[in-house]
Amino acid sequence: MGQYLRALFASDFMPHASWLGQPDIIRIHAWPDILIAVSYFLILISFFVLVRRRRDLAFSWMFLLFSAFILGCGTTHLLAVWTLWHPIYRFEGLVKAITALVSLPVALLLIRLVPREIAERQRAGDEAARLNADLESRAAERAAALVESDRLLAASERRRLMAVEAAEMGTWQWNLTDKEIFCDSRCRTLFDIPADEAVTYERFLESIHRDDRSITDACLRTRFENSQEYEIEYRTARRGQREEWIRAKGCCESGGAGGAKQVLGIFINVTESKRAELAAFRLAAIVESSSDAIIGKDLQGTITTWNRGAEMLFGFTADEAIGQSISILRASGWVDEMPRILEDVRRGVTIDRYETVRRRKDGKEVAISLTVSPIHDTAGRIIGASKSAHEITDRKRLDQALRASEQRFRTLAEAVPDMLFSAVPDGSITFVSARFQEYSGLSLECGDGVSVWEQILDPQDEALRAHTWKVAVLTGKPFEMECQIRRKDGVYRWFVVRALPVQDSAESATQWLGSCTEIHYLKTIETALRHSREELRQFAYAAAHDLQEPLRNVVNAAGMLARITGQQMDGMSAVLLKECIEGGERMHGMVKDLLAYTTAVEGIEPVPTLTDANEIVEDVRMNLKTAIAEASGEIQCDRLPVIAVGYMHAVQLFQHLIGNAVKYRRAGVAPVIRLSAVRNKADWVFSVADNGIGFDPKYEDRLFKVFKRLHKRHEYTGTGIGLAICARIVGHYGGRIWAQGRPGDGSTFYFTVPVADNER
Amino acid sequence: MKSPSETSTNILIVEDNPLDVVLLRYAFKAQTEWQTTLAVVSDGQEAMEYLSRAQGNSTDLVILDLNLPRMDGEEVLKAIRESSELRNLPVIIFSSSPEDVVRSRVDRVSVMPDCCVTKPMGIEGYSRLTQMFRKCYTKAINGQEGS
Repeated sequence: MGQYLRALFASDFMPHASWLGQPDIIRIHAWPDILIAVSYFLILISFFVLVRRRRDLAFSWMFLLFSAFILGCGTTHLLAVWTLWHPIYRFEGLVKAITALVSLPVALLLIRLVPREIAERQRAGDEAARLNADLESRAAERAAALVESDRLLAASERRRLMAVEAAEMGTWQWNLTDKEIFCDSRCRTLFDIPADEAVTYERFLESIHRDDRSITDACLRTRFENSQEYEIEYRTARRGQREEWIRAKGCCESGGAGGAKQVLGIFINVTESKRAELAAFRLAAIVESSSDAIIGKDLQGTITTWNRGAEMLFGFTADEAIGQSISILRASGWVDEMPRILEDVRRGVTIDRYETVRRRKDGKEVAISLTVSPIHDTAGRIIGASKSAHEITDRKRLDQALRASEQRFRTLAEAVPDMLFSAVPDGSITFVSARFQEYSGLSLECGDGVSVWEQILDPQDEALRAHTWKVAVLTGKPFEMECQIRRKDGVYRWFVVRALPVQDSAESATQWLGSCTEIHYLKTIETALRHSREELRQFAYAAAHDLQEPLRNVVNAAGMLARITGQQMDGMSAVLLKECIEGGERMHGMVKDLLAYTTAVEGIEPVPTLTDANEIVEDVRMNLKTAIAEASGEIQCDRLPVIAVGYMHAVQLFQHLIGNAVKYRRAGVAPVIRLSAVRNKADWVFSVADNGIGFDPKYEDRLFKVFKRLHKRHEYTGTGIGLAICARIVGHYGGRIWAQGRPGDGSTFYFTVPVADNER
Repeated sequence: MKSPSETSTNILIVEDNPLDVVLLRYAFKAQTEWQTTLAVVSDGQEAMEYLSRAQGNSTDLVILDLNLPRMDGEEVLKAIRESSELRNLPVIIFSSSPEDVVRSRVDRVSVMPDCCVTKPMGIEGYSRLTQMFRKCYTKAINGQEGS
């Protein structure tokens, strides 16, 4: 057997390929054979599948035979390719033989079977026609059922419309391919479209408020395109009427052929609820934007709302606070009044502007003013409380006030002609006004605050300044000094520098505010005045001493001459010599009086000592004792006040007035002098009245002038300086002097002096 | 010290006004109860030189004007008071200045005269002068004796 097989597959022949020796011929044989073989096998497989699927097929054994035949055909073609290179011709011949054996019965069988198959097909066609008729009748039944359901649908539509009416809805319906939109009467009312007017999409858009039109249009178009449901709100544009808010809701259905869509929609007039919503929205915005803390809480004290003001005031964010108990704001160490507040709220009481202390998130305490009001629900039940609070230590307001006052100060600092500065207790300058900078050419940037003084004062003044400043700071008393301040061009000018401590909350002042007032002009005048006073003093001294010396010589020499040659002189010579002596003596007296006049107000103290006028009168009475006694005079004196006039001046004043009253008495009439004083506002008015010779009122002015006399020298002695001295003294104390009188009927001299400070 | 009644009193007059010298001499000559010997110098420097010389040692009284050439009266007074020999010499300031001016000028040199006499205006005053000088001189001497 094995031997036989080996022989069968022996390839002891020459292959086609080699003896043909032509590759192109091999190719045109090999490729078609391969393709035919593959085709046969594919036919075989599909046959197989058909046979296995169609189990109902008749003649299965014939199919099987047919399959064998096809398999054989394929295999012989495959072997034809194989033998091109492997010449196993014996095997090939065997396969061909088998194929031939199978093909014959197949052919015979087919000849017999084909007429039978045709008869079978005829019968199957009849059956299909019968089935089709059956289907058609069933479809007719279904159509009838559909009509019925439509009828039922129409009924439900009516019910739906009634519901729409009840909800005050308008409905619309639009087949997108149509131009016209179906709108019900309510729609037309809403959009103000007459019943006879056709409604198009464009007409519909026109009826929408201008501001809402384009956005509504865009929204609707997108929804229609994508067949989506929509729900939008817009306002209507009805001319001359108030705008109405519409809520539109609808769906878009894919319709029949051609992608045509249908839109079904409803409109509801939501104006009222919209207004309420807007009002609520505004209210919420106000609450949110309020700088006051506005907090809602329920009756258990749980925080329900928390605005930005509350965040600012208490430091908790809304997220942190809402849901917490209001007691998170309780300040420790303060009376817990929260339960009482809640109790009040429950009873419906509003707490208005209650001032208390709360604790911030960061632990700091803050003083606030609270207003707590109950919140009612629609049925009037109290369901919680709203609390609004603002800070009363109100740093912001304080800051603003401070800024305003700072601004005022700055403006003032630039408005006044003085140069202003502020300094700390060690003398360092912390601020200088623009005028200061302008004058000195210095600004605080030029160096530290202390060196400002060194730069504007000369070293001597600076030493004095530093000393005076220290004393002022130690005593807390105002600083004041006069000094020369250097101008930016190097010229020094006189200023009076003053500074006051700022009494802030600190124990000792931490700041001093100062001004530099220019007194250069005053100082120049003062210096000139001092010089002229010094000159006057020197003149007075010269008059008193140096001029007196030769005058004394004239008088004494003339006196000596008169004594030596007195008997030998003729009458004329004696008169001339007498005139010479008397003139010298008079001049001596006048110079003395002039000196008294010029020095009368020297040494007036800035704060006059207090002098009792009663004592002055007594002293004068002693001084003039002789003269008074000689004239048998009498002084009647009321109770006089204490006056702020120096003793020496008061004595001079009274002595001249009383002395004059004694001197200018009427012949043969004992002088009676009456002194009194009456208060007139801030002055004492003194009067010295006599019963003497009086004077002609037209000469009143002359009375008080230097060396002006109303009488001849031989009638009354004196140079006429007394009343001038009186006027000078009174004038220097800020008073006035005048006189009243008539010839032969006495005189009254008046003068005023200011009431002493402590008696005002 | 000699008593005024025993012998003549040596007086040094320091005065630059010739009329005053004339009037003083006239006044001393016109009285009889006080025996005096007058020496006159006309400025302060001269006065100090005179007093330091031998004859100056016998001077009993100085009548001193204030306004003097070269050396003022108050300086002469100071020099006398500071000199060990002359310290107790009686000095009368004789000046035309009012008494307060004299006081302030003398105070400036911190020494005291024994008396101050104002020069009279009018010759009538001179007749009383010698009595005033004598009273002052007597008082000065008695004061020294007492102490």
